[in-house]
Amino acid sequence: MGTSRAKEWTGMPAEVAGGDSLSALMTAYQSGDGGAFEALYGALAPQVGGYLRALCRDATRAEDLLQETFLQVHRSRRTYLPSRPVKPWIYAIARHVFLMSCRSTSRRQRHETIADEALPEIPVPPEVARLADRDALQRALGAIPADRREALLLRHVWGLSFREVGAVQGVTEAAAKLRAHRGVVGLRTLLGSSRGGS
Amino acid sequence: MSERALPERLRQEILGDLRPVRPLPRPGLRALEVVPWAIALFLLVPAVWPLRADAEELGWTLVWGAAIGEALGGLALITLALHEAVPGGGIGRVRAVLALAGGAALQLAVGLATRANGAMHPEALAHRGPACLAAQTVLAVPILAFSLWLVARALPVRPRWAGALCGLGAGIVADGVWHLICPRIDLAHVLVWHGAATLLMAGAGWLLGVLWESRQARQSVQA
Repeated sequence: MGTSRAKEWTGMPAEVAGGDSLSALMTAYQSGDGGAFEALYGALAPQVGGYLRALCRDATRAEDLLQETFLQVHRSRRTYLPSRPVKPWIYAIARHVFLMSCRSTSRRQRHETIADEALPEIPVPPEVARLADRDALQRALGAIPADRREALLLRHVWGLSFREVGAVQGVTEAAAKLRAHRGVVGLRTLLGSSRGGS
Repeated sequence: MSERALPERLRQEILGDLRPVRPLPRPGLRALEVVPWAIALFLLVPAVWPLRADAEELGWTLVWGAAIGEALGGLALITLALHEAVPGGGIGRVRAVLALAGGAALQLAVGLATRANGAMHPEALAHRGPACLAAQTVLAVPILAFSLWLVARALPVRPRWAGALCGLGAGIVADGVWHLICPRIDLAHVLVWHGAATLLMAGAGWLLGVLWESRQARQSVQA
């Protein structure tokens, strides 16, 4: 149903719909159109779910947080300003839901001790996909600091501009750029050392 | 990237409450809602208390001009707090710290300019510090409460920063209003008592933000 609604609204499948189409969906949803919400969910849930998996490193918890994120989106739908892009708004809500959940359950320490084999797949940025095999990339991505990994993925996997990445993370555009850059450098270093070691 | 179907439980919750909503106005426009409160204070306070004794020496610019300047500075901080209350629209920690420092610097600049151009009249010594602290706090509280209500109607993802910006903004508006009344020009009085009132408001805003965050976290557990 999400696909048909997105096509109806944007003339193209939601996965390729641009920011303007998402804004149109969001505006329709604010006017009380439930179908527009479904289309938004269909278009954005895979990306936001991937983002939450990368943040919490726990697939089951990420799924719960995804539902909670969209509930929060619903409760706060009036805070979306039609002139602004939709993605930074939704990612910022997802991040807020994740942080509130961490605060409430003190899971921050817990998920640092999750065994490697229990970790869900983290999306791999195309820029570094050719540097090593998928497993090595996953391990390296998991090993870089969380804020750098987050900036790297938001920029290179989900296509946000550095300004939008900064808005999601609550830092300046320059700081977001630096985090993503350091993330790439960290990945290259880790992959280089693992290849050197093997 | 493939599309995902909406889970049934989520669909039911959403469809159960699908009334149309009007998007919030831009933060700058929302901050204008604070202006009537500030105007009311500017009209009410000089009607209740006599204007400062050195008003003639200071002239219009350093009495009313400085007071209005402080009020505008305070409103700018409240506008930034309202930006912080829109997910993905925040100003970030570094800019928030700079804005807070700028607000404090504005209050200090008004104090220094007043000291350089004003005169200490004998009746000024009757103005005690704790009374200034109390008066400024009483003036700031309604503005803080109203601006925090505006913030809470949105979704502040960094509520402690939004609260601190609101608190400092309300404190500086109140300092501007009380600048019309308090005739003390000595920096010790201005920095300790007037500065403390402003910092108290910023601290109260920060603390309320922390409490709001804890409440959000508790609700997250219940969900």
